[in-house]
Amino acid sequence: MAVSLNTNFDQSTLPQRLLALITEELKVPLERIARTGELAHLGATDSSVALNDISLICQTAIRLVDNYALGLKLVNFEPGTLELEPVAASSVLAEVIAELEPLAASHGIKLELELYGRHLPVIANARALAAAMSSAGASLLEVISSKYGSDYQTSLKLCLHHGRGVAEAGWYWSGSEIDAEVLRRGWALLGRSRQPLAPNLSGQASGIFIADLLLESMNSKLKSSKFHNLTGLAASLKPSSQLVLV
Amino acid sequence: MRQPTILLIEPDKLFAQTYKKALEASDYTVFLVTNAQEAISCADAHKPDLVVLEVELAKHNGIEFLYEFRSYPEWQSIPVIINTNISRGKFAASSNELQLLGVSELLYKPKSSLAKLISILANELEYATAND
Repeated sequence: MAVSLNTNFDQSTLPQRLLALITEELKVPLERIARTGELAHLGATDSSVALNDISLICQTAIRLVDNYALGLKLVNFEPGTLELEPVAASSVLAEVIAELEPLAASHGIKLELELYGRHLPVIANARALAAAMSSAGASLLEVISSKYGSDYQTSLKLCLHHGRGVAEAGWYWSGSEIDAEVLRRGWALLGRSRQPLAPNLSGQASGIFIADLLLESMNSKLKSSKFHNLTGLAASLKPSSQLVLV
Repeated sequence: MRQPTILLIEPDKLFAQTYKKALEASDYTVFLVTNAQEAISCADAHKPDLVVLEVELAKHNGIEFLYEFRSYPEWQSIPVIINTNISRGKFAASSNELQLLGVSELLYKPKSSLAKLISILANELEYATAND
């Protein structure tokens, strides 16, 4: 089941709102780098561990900026230039899982890829789809990690399953923190609040909005979705009709 | 001599580990929690000598935690240092409110450092011990 979102606000201010949120969010990795460096300097951690941590933090920040730039390019600066073609969504999702594994491990969260049924290729752009899923996934890792206690063991699932005439691809988990209403309010608050998603979440969430921006360039949207008793954020992707005939 | 105990309330796991390691390296015993509910249980179980608090928490924020924390007579004199990502201008609580809640220091993380936190923490503990 998926609930689509009606984002009733001035779309023309979206890039500025996102930029404001990302500027705020980028302070966190820079600060993490500063503190990790300081910790190594104090001799409280091994310098090779600190360097690994710094490398991971940098990759996460670069991913955020890269995906934001790609989203802006596709939606605002060069709309209509994205080539949509038949894409094997399962292989894109597998790449996303591999990309986010180190970040998930640092938060103590297990990532799982679950493919339900057989899927035809979908009409999408592999780079934009991967960027959207990794953006949303990285944000959810931060949000879920800060939501639960340090000893809580949880997993985040990247699922591909059948919807009504479409393939649904998205992130699912056992919590119910992000529903359609929360996302709607999030859009309204975007750029005006440090944490636009919900008062019962902490951490940053601009990646979720970047994912939505990227999906928009492929005529899709991020939606609040439920599947197999899991809550999630997913996008509907049209199967490639050309290949259905073949 | 018993090591001073710190209740560290920090929802960001990466920051939390960094602060915990730095404080432990300075000979403090650290109890790390990520939300207000855990913090109250932890304070009840361990009676910390000082609290380091990030106010931006899931569910109940840090200010709500402080109201709850200070409502118990035995915790009213425990020093609290706010160490947060929220800048002063965006802070929901006024200086008066923070003073009433017994906040000793308000550190803005991007402009602070581990060394500064440790130094302030040592001063606060020394002051608290002297006034016991």
